[in-house]
Amino acid sequence: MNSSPPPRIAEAILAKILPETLREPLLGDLEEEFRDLQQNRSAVNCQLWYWRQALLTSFLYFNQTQKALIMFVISVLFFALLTFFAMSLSGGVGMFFDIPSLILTLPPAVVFAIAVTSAMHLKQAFSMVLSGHVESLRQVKQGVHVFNVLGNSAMWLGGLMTLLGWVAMGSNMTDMQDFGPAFAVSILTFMYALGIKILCYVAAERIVFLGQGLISNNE
Amino acid sequence: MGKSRFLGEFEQYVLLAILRLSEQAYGTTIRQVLFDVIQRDVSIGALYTTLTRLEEKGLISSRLGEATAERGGRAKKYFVVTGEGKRALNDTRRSLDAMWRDVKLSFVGVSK
Repeated sequence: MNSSPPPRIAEAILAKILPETLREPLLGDLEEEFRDLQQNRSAVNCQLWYWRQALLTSFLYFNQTQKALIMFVISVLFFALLTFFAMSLSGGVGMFFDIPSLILTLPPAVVFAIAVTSAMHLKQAFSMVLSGHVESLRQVKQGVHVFNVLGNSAMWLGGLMTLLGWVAMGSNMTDMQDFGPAFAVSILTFMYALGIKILCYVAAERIVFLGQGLISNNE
Repeated sequence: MGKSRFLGEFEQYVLLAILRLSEQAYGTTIRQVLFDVIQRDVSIGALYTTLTRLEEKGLISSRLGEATAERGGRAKKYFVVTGEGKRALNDTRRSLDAMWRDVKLSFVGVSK
């Protein structure tokens, strides 16, 4: 007989996907059966049995409990595809990618958002958008605030870094032939900032919408 | 006679398993009865999907029970068949019996 615990990753996946009302009884039933199986089956066999049950059950409940996540991922993918399509039409996607420009925008904006709110609030805001679950109006306000700070910081940083690029261009450029490529790279920072702002706007509006459900429930 | 409610095949099995188990009907024991009696090895998720549906229809009711160590400290959810559930089972059985009346199955010439 073996006495290893049920696979924790499978258990965590199930706990995430199951509706709250079923989480405790269903996970308890699975663990009870898992312990029974350990009396006469090998450890590997028991682990495989648990994984099979966890995956079959997750598949059944995923669509029911993770609709918000699915819709958010689809909308982000749609946005990414449209952007990619527009880039392709304008002569190739390579000229739109510049890692330093992204580094100048996104990480500082995240740091500002954490500094103004907190890491916990940032995590909570993302969790609200992905799970579609809000608990209180206070949480809604905090979530919206996080995305406002994140989006606006990205915008201002993008503008500032673009200006910085123009100053550098003006100071160092002697040949006007270099103007085009240098200008394109400098304006990329602002383009990334706009992309972040759009996503933050959608996320904040989604939290506001979820909060309206909370108000109507209270009424 | 009131509005009759016909049950699906698996719904009938689940209701009958709960009735057989009486006070001890929860996920694990229901699954065990389904396997022992009709050799149906359903996933725990499929069973709970049906249990939830039956409860929404008012055919069964549930209560949370005690938490035990072998369940990782988690509570059991016990199920009982309501009066409406028993009536639905009875209606379905009567309908099936009526349909089977005068039906004779002949397996002559039918290969396995």
